[in-house]
Amino acid sequence: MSFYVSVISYVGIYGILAMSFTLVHGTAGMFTVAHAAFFGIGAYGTALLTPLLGPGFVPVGIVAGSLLAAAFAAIIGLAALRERGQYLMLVTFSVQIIFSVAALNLPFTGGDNGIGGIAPLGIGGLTAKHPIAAMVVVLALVVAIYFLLRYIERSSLGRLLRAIREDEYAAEALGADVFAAKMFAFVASAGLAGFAGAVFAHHASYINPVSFSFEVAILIVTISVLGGQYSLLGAIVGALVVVWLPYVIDFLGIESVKVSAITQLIYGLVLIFVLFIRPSGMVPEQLRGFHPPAQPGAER
Amino acid sequence: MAQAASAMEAASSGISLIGVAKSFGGVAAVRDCTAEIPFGCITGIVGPNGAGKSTVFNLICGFVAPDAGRIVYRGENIAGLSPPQVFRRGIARSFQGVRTLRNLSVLENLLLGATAAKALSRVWLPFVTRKADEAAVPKAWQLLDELGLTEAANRLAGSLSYAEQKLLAIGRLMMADVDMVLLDEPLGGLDPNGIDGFIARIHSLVERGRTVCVVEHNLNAVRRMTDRVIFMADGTVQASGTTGEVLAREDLARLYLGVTAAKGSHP
Ligand SMILES: Nc1ncnc2c1ncn2[C@@H]1O[C@H](COP(=O)(O)OP(=O)(O)OP(=O)(O)O)[C@@H](O)[C@H]1O
Ligand SMILES: [Mg+2]
Repeated sequence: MSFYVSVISYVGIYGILAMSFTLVHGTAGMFTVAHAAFFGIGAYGTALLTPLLGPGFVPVGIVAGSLLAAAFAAIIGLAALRERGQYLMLVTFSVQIIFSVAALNLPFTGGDNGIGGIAPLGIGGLTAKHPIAAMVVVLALVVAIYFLLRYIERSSLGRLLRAIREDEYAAEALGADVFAAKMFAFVASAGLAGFAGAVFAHHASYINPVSFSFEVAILIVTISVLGGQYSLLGAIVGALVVVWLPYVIDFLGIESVKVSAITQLIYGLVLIFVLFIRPSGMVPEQLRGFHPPAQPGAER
Repeated sequence: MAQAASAMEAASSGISLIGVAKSFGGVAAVRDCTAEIPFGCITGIVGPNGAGKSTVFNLICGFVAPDAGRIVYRGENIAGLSPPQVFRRGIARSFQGVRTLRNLSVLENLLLGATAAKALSRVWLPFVTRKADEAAVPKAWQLLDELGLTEAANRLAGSLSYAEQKLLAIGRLMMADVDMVLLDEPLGGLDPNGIDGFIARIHSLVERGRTVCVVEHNLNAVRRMTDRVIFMADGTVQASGTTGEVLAREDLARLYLGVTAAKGSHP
């Protein structure tokens, strides 16, 4: 029972992570491979900070972890987003590698062993120690973030980001500050990935570099592409399908050393299959339909 | 801002290019270019392929920074500003290709004309954003009706025919809150039947108080649309004046045909 509960929580956490990727990639069209690193920066950020703040300050740690990820993204964005084309992918690829090396070797990250004993989710005297309570907190955060991102996607800014995805010169000619809009999408998305990482740290109570490796970067892309890379709902559906996979393989009684390899193989096949058969994934981009003004209730 | 420029301004100003130059590597795309695009009339820019016409638009709108010279608009040197900065001062342009936002709906393409410039600064104020976004919608519907694209409103813009996409590109500029509209070959690739409708659309831009400047190879259409013509060749202005005057000059006609025939077409 508590096993299922914790898997549902992970679906929620990876759902948030995948939605953050939808914002930067599906909506704004920027392919970044550093989202596992931003996820990790948020996790390590709060894991290192909350013990200094004392119990009851978990939300502060989570916000700080998110802001730290956003700050790193801002620096990377300033350096990489002025260039057009594939530059960002190369830069974020390096960032992901550097992060993994840093997480293993910095004096305060605990190397291979990572950091344990992280305070559970909670605020002040209230802690969600029970798995069901933790799951409820995570799912509430998923809903809140879904609606926040939906507001952005449906606003003129979301439309502008999609315009930039389609043709940045056209967007620029219509008066858009393309660099600023890209910075917004990149930094907000990284901050959100950091947020997911911080929640992950408090939920798991233990983190190590494996959770933020390049394989996780691939996992994020897999979730997004399978679920629907242009859709927020798709990100959640993708997480729902993908997060179960290793547990299912494990359940089949396959040797645990092989589980990771088999999982990676299946991710790869799924990616290829979806991209060829149905690039929009399980949930396609939903265009907002408009009713002509003559009809009552102007829009749906 | 988009209201008709005052009579004083109409008589006295617009965009002035003064000694503007731009080279790409060894190619002098534009050199010592001095020209006026006055408010209140339609100016045509004509000339053979590679004359530097599109580069002039790129220079004015900030897509390319000049090596030398000044571009004065409303008393300010706008040379070297970024495209959004130029847009905010009231100048918008279309491209030689259609640059349709293919995976956005037709209506959304139009809405962007009205909202793209302010979308980012407003997003922090959800209420203001919603109001401003909604305000653009009826305007877009009205424009769709005028362009004959009502049926296609919620379809992907990429599914439109080429001619419809060219209309949409002009529609986006009609939505924009600017005074000056620069059109780069709006009639290019259209069949003769479509052209009349297009010229009507360009005139409806003027009716909306916009000053229009158009680069166009179809001289017949230029004769019908424009009041003034700037003739460019080899990156510089060879002549300018009223349309009748400039297009009647045989030396220019020979220059046009000669260079066009020699160089062939150019994207
Ligand atoms: N971004 C660029 N990089 C390099 N060369 C360029 C660039 N833009 C223009 N040129 C060159 O500058 C010259 C003028 O080009 P431009 O596109 O302004 O001509 P045009 O008058 O618009 O021609 P057309 O009628 O064929 O559109 C050409 O020789 C072109 O190859
Ligand atoms: Mg041109």
